[in-house]
Amino acid sequence: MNAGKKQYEQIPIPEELDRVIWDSIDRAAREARRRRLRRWGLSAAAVFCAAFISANVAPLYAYAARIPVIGAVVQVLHVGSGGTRADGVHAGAAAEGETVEFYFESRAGELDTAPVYTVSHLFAPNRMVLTLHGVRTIDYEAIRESLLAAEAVLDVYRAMIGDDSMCGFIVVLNSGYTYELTEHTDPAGLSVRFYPDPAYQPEQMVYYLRSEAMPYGEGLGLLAERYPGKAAQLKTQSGEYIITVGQYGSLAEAEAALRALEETSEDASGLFVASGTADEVPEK
Amino acid sequence: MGGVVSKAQFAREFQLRRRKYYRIAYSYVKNEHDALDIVGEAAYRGLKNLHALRAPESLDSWLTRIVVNAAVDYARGNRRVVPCEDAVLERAAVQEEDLIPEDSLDLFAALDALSEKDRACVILRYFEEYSFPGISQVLQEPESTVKSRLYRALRKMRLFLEKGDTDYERGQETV
Repeated sequence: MNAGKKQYEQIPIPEELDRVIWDSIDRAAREARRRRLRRWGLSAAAVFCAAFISANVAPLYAYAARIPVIGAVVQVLHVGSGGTRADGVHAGAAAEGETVEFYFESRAGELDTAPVYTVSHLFAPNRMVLTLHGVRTIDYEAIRESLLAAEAVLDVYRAMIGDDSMCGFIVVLNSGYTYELTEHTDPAGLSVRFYPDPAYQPEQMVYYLRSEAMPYGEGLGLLAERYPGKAAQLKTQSGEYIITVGQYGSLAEAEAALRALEETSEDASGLFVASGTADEVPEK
Repeated sequence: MGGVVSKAQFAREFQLRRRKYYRIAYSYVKNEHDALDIVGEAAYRGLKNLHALRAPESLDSWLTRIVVNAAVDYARGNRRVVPCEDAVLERAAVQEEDLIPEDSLDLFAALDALSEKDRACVILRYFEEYSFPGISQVLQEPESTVKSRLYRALRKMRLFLEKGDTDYERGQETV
């Protein structure tokens, strides 16, 4: 081997290399977030004022005056949960291309950390389910419009949740798309970026447990509450709604899951196994 | 629409190849502190411009180019001795055998004799074992230019090692 190549390969790698790289990645992510916040700062101020007036809460300050703000990335995830416990939170959203920023506010002003949230990625059809805890008022139209502005998003609807300190959204994605969710602090924020997934398999069969279809209403919310943390709501092609529980790679797994659920919950008798391809919306 | 590589993918890929990026950076500045600065700057530039990447399979070439450019910028901003640049690249056809350095040629020690871009050619070809098309993709230059650069670089390195640092630098332009 050439002496130079040997020297090159023996260059010691310092322990700080990882930290230096993460610091730089965080810096770039913070700056990108700050640029986005600057762009939608003024419209966000209007939204906040309107939301607090309609909720009979005095507008506390001009949000735009506090921009620019710099957030720190807490985590980037696809499925999971995060945030810190809060109550009385107001949520809104703004879009930039394929990224949607959720922002959070309370009576005391802008939140430093995002409220508790859970996000899951389900198929048949391809969809993201986002649930926010401690959020009592939302600017749903802004959230819906922001999400629909992304090319990746096919449909958006709100989950029926009886608990008025929670809200949830079902974001149906076009075939081949996926997302990543980034949680920020200082100020609190959740950024959802949609992008094409090169490994997406539209023909992949998915098995799940589901209920009979029903109209959108309290019954739907009550049924979902029977399976806390497991149930998701879904709009069928006929416009009615069902709840789905779990997601499995085979019929046998789904049947085993149903049996296990029936053993632990007497209410599981109304569920049955269904299946569909990754993008398939149940007819009814 | 956003880029085709997510931030998480970017972070994963950059971390995966961090040793290579560090060694490339180190070859330019020959000290740990500056090499870390260069890699950090490359990670920052990469994520900041990630939306411009259109082909996910080019991510490594694209990141290597960013590391080389960050190293070149850093070296230009800090150097005191500027190696002589040939006015025009060699036009003569370069034979493959001309581009094989003999084992006695210590390429690493002689890197300092080269201009920043020539240095990148040597590092990628002889240390990272890139193909000519691979170097061409990283540096965004035709393969013929890459070969000419390497030919010229080897000649300079031989001269540098034969004459020694002191004699060689006497012939350089000082800034």
